[in-house]
Amino acid sequence: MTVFIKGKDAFSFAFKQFTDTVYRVALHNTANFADAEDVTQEVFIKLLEANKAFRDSEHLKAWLIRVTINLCRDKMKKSSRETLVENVIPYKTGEDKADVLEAVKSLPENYRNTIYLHYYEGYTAKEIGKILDAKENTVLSWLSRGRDALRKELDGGFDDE
Amino acid sequence: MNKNDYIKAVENITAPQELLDRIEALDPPAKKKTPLWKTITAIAACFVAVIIAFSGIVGGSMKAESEDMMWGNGNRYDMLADSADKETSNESPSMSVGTSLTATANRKIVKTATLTVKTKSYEAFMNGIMQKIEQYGGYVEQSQEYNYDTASNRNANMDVKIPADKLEKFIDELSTLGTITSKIISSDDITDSYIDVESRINALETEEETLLGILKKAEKLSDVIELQQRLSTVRADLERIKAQKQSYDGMIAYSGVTLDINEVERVVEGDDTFFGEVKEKLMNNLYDLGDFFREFVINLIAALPYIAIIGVVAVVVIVIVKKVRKR
Repeated sequence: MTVFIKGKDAFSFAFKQFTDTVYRVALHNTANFADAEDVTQEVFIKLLEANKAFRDSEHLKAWLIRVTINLCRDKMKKSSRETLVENVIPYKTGEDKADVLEAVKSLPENYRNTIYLHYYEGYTAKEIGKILDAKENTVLSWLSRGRDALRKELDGGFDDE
Repeated sequence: MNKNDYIKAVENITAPQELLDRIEALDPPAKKKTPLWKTITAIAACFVAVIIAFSGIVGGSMKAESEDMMWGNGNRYDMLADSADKETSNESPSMSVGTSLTATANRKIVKTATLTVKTKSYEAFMNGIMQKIEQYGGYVEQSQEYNYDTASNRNANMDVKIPADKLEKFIDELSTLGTITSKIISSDDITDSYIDVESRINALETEEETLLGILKKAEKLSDVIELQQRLSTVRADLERIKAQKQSYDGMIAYSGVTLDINEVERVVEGDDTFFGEVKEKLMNNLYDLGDFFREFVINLIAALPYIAIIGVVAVVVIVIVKKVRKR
């Protein structure tokens, strides 16, 4: 309630700080790079249009993540209606690292977002619950189920510590 | 393979330069100028405050300020609209492209409606809508449900047929079940095509009768064969055209309603308990209040040049008045 970021300030701050975050979330939730790029751009358009005031940078970041996930959802819905393709098409980047990404991406939506938000962004289950609008316990179970699924998929598992 | 590999893999993902350029080039929407009335209100409030203060009535300025607060309230930035975060799909405000249905009974009108509905209680809504469809004698043509893992985020697409004369009533009922965020009703006049089909049916039927008449009289085998060939093409055409008419009839009698049903989650930071809600609302309001004061101060500062002039004028006027009274 003390710090306000709004309008153009919010936009340039988000652009500097969170473009990669938005893009990463988008990549986790879309079929290919092109879609992820489109969604990233749409998120920033939304930010401009909303002209919303944010309490602080965390508030802004959470908003961006939420909007990104929702826009991805809309996009996947539209494309699945048109082409009936699999929700997620694994893409090859030619790197070994892509394997673990692909494995995460193949998880159900909430699992993969939880995995991303927890392991990469370092959010707690409670914070993730706020972003994904779920109870803390639900998030914890997504997290452990996602981890279980990854353990099966990947050698050496995906352990917390 | 462990979480560190994942973190590294994610680390490697960076937005391509081309995308960054595209985003940077985005234009902020035209900045809304502070409306004139807001400035005027601020000036008026200060003017009143100055005058009253000069007249020696303490506390008057407070009154003027709170008055302004109430006016300003109507236009301030609404932070309670946090729930709008959730609804990022491109919903336009209720939009209706209805054609006024002044058509006479003989006009053949095909009505269709496309609706986007949001509901908080998905199950109740789906049950309710099925009931209404049945009640109005309609039926579901096709329906798809998506479930995004959580129970609070479902989505359904439905194509429903509703008897045309009950379409409007049906939509009214829908708005009691959920929130309609977009509504497009369109009417298509197919009278011309319909008449065309009817007259083609008549022509073909006449031709069929004539052919049958000739066939009865025909004696040569080659004639009979030729006539029967002709007859079968006529009959095939007739079937086709009749099917077309039937489909028109269906379209006229039943309006197609395309529904996009979205379950919306609770307001963010949803804490189910009573105190949780109280806390959230309180926070929102405090936040609003803070935002309002901020805007107020900004407008006040922006209006300083005016206030200065008015202040000087007021001082001069009061000094003159006092002098006049002394005499």
